[in-house]
Amino acid sequence: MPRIPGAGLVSGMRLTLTRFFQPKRTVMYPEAKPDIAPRNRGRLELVTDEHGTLKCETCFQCAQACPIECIDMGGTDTKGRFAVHWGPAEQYAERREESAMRRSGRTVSDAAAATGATINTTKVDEILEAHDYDPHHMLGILEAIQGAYGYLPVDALKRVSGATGAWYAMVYGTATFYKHLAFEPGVTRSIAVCRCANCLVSGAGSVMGTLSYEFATEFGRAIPWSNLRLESLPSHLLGAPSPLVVIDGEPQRDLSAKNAASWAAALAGRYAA
Amino acid sequence: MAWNRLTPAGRVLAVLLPVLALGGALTTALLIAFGGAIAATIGANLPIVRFLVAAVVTFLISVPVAFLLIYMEMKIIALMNLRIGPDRIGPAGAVMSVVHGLKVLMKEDFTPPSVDVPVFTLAPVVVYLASFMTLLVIPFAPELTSMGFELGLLYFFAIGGLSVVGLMMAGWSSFNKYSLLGGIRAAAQAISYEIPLTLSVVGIVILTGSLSLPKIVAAQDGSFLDWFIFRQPLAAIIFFIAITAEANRTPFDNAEADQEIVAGFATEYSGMRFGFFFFAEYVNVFIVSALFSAVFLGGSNPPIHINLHPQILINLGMLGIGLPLIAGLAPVIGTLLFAAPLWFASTRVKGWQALIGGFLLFGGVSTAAIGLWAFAMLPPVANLIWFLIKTFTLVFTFVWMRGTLPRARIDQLMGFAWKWLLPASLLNIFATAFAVLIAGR
Amino acid sequence: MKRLNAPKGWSQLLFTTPTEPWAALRAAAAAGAAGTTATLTAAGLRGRGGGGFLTGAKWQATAAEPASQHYAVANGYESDPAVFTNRLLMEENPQGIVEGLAIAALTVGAREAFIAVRAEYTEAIKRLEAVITNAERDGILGATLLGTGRELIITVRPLQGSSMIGEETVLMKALAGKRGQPEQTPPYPSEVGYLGKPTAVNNVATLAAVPWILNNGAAAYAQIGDTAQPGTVLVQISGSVANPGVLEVPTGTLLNEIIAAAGGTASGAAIKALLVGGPTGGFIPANLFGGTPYSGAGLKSVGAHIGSGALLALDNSVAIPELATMLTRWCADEACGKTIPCRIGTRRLAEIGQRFVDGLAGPDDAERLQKLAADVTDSALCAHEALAPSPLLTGVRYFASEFGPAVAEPSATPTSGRS
Repeated sequence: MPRIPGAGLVSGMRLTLTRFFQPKRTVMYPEAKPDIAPRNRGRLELVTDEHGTLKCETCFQCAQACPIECIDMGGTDTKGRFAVHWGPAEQYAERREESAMRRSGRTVSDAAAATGATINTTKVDEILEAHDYDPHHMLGILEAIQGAYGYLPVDALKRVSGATGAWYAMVYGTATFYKHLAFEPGVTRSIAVCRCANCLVSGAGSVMGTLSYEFATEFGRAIPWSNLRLESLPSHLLGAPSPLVVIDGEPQRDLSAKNAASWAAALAGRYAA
Repeated sequence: MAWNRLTPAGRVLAVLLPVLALGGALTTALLIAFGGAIAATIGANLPIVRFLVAAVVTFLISVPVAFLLIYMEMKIIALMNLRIGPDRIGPAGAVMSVVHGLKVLMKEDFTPPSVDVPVFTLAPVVVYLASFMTLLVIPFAPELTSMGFELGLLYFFAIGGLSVVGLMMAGWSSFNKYSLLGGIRAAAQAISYEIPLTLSVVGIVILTGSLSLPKIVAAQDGSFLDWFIFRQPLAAIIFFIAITAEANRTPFDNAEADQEIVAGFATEYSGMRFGFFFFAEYVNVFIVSALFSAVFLGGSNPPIHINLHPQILINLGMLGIGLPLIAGLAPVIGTLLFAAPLWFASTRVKGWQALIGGFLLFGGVSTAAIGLWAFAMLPPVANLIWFLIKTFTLVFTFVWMRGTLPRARIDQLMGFAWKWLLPASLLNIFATAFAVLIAGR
Repeated sequence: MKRLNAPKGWSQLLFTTPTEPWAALRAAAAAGAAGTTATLTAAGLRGRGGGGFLTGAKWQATAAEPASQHYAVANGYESDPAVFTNRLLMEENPQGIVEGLAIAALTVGAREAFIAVRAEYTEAIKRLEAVITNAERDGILGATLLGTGRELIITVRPLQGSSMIGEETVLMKALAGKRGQPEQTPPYPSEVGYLGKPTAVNNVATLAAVPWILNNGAAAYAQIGDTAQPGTVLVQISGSVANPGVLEVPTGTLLNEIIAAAGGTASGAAIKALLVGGPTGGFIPANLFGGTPYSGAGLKSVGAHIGSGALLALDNSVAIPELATMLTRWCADEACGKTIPCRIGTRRLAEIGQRFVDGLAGPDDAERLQKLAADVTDSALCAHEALAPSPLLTGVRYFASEFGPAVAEPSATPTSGRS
């Protein structure tokens, strides 16, 4: 096209005039929401799966990780879904149910909490009083509650959170970290295998493998429909032989490096039947 | 006391109503006492009074016009960019520019320490005044011109040139070399384009034989073919380009190129002072558009004279007592009339909602009817509306150019003025004079 | 697990009771903070918890940190499940530990001090508490320290539930009732410790040496053992030795001397390797026993470390890859889960180890092991993660033949492109 002076101006002006009359591309947020790809990471929020259950494990890692401690777990249905709330624990009247714990592989611990029934929290108050409501003594408080009830009821944790001012996420985070604290009532006994280097040399590995296989349970979990839990012994008992298996606090004597696997199978047979 | 129990609105009313009542009573008393004397004085000095009223009204309407122009600019450029622009504040975002104005007022008015304080303070005033004083000669309608005196055009260019002084004052006193650069560039641009500007209208002056704006408008009476844009096309083009440069509009907005030198000469200004510059610029746009439409587009003349012989010549005096009756009943009947279809249209519309809707509809329809009647019957209204239509078309064109065209470099801009526009305007003068000479023979 | 008699020539100090109890505390009070830290620095006492910092310098830094409160903590929590050295020390010399902790508290300006103990060590807890109660009754501790009007409250804190509690930043959090996950260091506990305040954290073995140093002089201590790291270390030797037990070993002692002190090999079976340092320790082959001194630097040069003080003698019946894999799996299971390289990396290392054990290792598994181990160590937030790859790394380094041909003869052609 020969360079007519002004032709560019005219064509430019014509273009903008046509644009003036064309439909506009603005998405009228928030009345209309833009079409975003399903795996877009642009905004972090809790999502539900195809059955409508929330894809949140309530592992409290986000609450623990938040450097300004502004995340807490809790609340019931808001807009048809549970929400991760940002704010202090005292604001929330109800705590989340154990459905997330169920999906995480832990057994539904507190049937009472699932139905919303409450426990008698007098003992909790006494324990709190004895520890001066100090959240720094959380481990001691939790151990005492476990001693009183046999496990950690959700209601008790709520009470502890409310009374000490420690956020429920922190209380829950502490309670789930330490292996001697339990959430399931009724699991009172344990089969503990020592995994120290001496025991490993003596065949603890095969004992663990066999027990895990026979009971179809991973170590650290409760054996289903029983009051037993399979766990690792935290510390070898002084003077006990290797490999060491402790049941109800009693080291087992008829176990040795050679018969480790068969001994474990026999034990599983005794308990499973 | 009961004061504490009042809402803020109630408090405003509680103060306002007694004041208004008192004021009204006082004014009435004064009027009764001195009414005759006042009327006589006004009658004796009618031209001065007329001028005063005109000037005050002009000044008062300039700020809303600036708001309107700002809104137009935001909205039109947005629509050209396939956006929507302001749409939340007020209906379709109309209140947005008012909000902008208030925001500018509420910002901190900060005077940098090393500025030349009197010059710094006066610069926005000078620029603002230069714009506003030119507003006085714009011929909105033959009946609605503030100052229709003989040297209107010359006055316009003279006072318009005063804004250059203001720009230089701003640039210099800011104690900022970039502001100074911006000020110098703005001043250089302004004075460079003044010459083609003034020379291009010399052709018009030759044709009409007068510098008076109302006379220039009157010379374009008739049909739209009489408009000077057809008789002086080259002058129109030169004039258009020159006023774009004078108003510091894109593509000639180096002085205030937001993307390049912050706000150019106005960098050190904040708050109300910056608001002055800002408003002055938009009023300037309106003024030059008005001038172009007055000089080249026929001003307040309609494109075609249509003789409306309104058959509806109601002698209102005939109605006698019926007039107040109709005046009283018409709103009521009209509201009910318009409310009825609303109420019948949907069951969700309650009675009171229908009545309010009816009232609003009646108000709109009656206002439109009165407007049309005024347009047909009252010449000032028609002339004003034609003038405004042409002016706002020009404003739209300016905004359209801003949304489209890239900025010219300062040397390109200056070169264009001196090397092209100046010779072209001289050519136009020669051609016009030659044509007049030939035609006069 | 009993204490073995040390051979002649090995200085023993940790289990000695001073003639006059609390003399060292009085001496420290008299010498003041500067004097005490000077003495300890001159003695060259280094931390026995694994970090090996100069104790005097650590206390000085803690004391110098401006804060409203300071704390002192004795770390008696043994992470290594097999080892009882700290337990024996706490049971047999609680006086020394409490006195050492009191001196530490006095030096850093703490009013409160804690002794962290495994909750299973009930006897140790009892004895420590008895010492404290008697001291408070006698006016040495408690509301008024040695009658000076300053208070010093020492509490025994039984802890359990995680092996990580032995790590000092984890210990700070466990004491505060929080989740036992370590924090980034620096800032070290000497700057930000218990409840965010400067805290001097020391192993109980380190603290037990402090009264001896103050009673017998810095020079005497500096002469014992290795010059770079003077003093003694409590070692537990077990496995295929004749007399397994706890020994107090001067630093710099050669490994074969330690084995000899434990009675040599058990019933003729030759020792193939020593697992030195506990579950995150390194395998040292028999040919290095004569040339490796038991000290921080000496062990590091061969890829091991003092760690918990454990020495496990392994004979030919033990398969190194299997043991290394099980140890790595223990590390993975005990990991706190805070950092991804540890949480996932140790699991992957265990998987690679298992592939070697099962004979299913691929051609690039050896390189993958090295790279992953390097990543895990480099990104470590705590010593647990940094040392978790040690068993596999030293196993592959010294016992490559046991890991199979993939390791013994790495493929000549480099693996394609995989980083």
